[in-house]
Amino acid sequence: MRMEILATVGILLLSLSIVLFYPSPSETFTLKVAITLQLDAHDRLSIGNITYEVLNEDLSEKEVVHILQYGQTHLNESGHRVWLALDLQGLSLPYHIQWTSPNMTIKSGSTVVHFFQNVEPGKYLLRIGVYASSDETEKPQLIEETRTLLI
Amino acid sequence: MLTRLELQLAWNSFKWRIKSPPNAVLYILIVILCAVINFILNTFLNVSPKDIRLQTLSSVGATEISPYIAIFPGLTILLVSVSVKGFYGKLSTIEFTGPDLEILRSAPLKPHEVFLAKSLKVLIKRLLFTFIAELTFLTPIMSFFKMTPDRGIIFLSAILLYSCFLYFVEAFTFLASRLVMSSVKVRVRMALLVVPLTTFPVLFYREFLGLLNRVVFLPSSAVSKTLYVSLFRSVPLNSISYPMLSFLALFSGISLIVTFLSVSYYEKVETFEELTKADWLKFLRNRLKWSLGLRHSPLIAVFFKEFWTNLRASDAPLIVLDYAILLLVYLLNLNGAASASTTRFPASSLILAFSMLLVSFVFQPSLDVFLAEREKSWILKVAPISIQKVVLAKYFYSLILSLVTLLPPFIGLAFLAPFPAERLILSVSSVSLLILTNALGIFIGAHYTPASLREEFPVTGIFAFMGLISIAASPVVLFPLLFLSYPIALILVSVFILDYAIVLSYRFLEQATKSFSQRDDL
Repeated sequence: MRMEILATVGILLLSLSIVLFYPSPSETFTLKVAITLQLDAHDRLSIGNITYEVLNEDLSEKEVVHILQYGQTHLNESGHRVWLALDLQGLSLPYHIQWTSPNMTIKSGSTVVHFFQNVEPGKYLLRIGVYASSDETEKPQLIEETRTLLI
Repeated sequence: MLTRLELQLAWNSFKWRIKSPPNAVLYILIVILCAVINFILNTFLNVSPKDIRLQTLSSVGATEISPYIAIFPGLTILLVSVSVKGFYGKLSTIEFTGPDLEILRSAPLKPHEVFLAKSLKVLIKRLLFTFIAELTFLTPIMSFFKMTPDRGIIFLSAILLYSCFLYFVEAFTFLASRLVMSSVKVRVRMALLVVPLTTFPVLFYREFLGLLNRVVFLPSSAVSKTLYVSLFRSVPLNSISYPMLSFLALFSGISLIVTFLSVSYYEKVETFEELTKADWLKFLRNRLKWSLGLRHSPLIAVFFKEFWTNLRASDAPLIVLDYAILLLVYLLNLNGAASASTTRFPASSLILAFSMLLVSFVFQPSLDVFLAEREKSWILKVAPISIQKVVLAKYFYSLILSLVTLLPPFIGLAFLAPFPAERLILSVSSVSLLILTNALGIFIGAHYTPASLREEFPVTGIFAFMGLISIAASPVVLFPLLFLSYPIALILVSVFILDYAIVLSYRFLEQATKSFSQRDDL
């Protein structure tokens, strides 16, 4: 009788393991980088706050584009025309991905969000290049910033 | 009490071994080897300049391979291997040798209690070996990913637990299959042995594959996710609580079920009367051939003796196991190719060559050919056959067996290489590798095989085997890769490595003959 109870508990535990496994994280991770761009009193552009977050989800191309467009709703007609070049280079693994944003017109405090999909764990070097011009005829001004990320 | 006795026996055996100077030297060598491997890995991953490290990783295809893609198939291959091994092979802890039977006769114990005590000893040994392997190989990887202590503890514990879990999976498939087979008629039994293999084509249906991934691969998925997520520094640690809890439930569940099945096994299947007889190839009895029909050569007679006796023991199931692994790798590849956009396995020939070397560690029938004799070795020694012929017959037996078993997957692996020259050279290397590793296995088997059934094959022997393979066989798989761009040199190198393998094998076989004839205990 004792053995039958043992077997029943065993089977219940096996069933429980299937239930417990269901909310497990997926094996796909996405790095969300948010860059805040600021304009100072002299109307000069600078990179403000940079935050990053690792999300346990696989965002489709459609969703990524959607979030970028959401960022563009902050656009101001009188602001700077900018475009961003992001370069994420692995310092642990040979992971290297670059991204260039479309042209955007921003106002102070606008945040540009980009998602690097299928990232792997390790140390990374994030290079941010912001090309900005207040006038179409003016040569774009380049602002650069680097950050080391441990994800 | 019984567990304490088993552990005391294991401890005494270790103390006895370490007191003999050759074993003590070998233990010291093992410690040095582990320290050297750890140092090299640590230097490469954590000390070497970043550019050199990244370039090396790129050259071995690490740009395409995520740690998850390395962890999950590895754990799954182990899981499926032990399941199939349990189904077709034998479980050492379930069989009782002389002293176990004496304990059973004299003490008020039940057979399953002896089995559980022996299992506990196996688990403790496994934990110890896994921990040594972790210290050697994983600590540099952990510092490479800058793991915090809490993540490190989870990472190491998950692997330790998985190594114990694999034992329970093997015991479960062994006990469950024997119980099912004992309850059905003899004709149905053979069908039951073949049915699992015939079900493999079903795996090609994607829906079935998805279901199989979820249920059968649950343990390896849960542990892989735990390990993979713990590598991320910025992912909260509580996100692994579900896969970890799921695995713990699975571990506890299967250990309870194995306990229950072992009680039923000793009540219904094991009668302690047919311990020495084959349990699944009874149809072979009295129909065995000992010559090729032309003439009675002693070499062929020993060869056939090896074939029939080992077919009843462990090698035949291992052939099946191997093909199962091959199919599994193929399926994982198929699955990976479907989910990722790549159609080819993204591995360089260096990785493939190392996979071959690693697989030849796992499957080595040559190590077992002397192990099967033990107390009966004297029959071979006093028989009117020269020891050289005995060694040669054993070598040919294990060589043919491993050629049949390993050559298809090796060539399959070679064909995953990106260039035709690499495919050719990996195919040639695989034959040379098998020629050499078998001779090495025969030498180690003749030198280290214990004299009695009670003693296990010494760990020092296994380490000596692994160390010698790493040193002697590495040129066979690595040297040709240096000449990939020079076709003429490649042909010369192929001839050279084949020649190297044959000459070195001959030397090992000579040493094996010497060791076997000089041993007084066998």
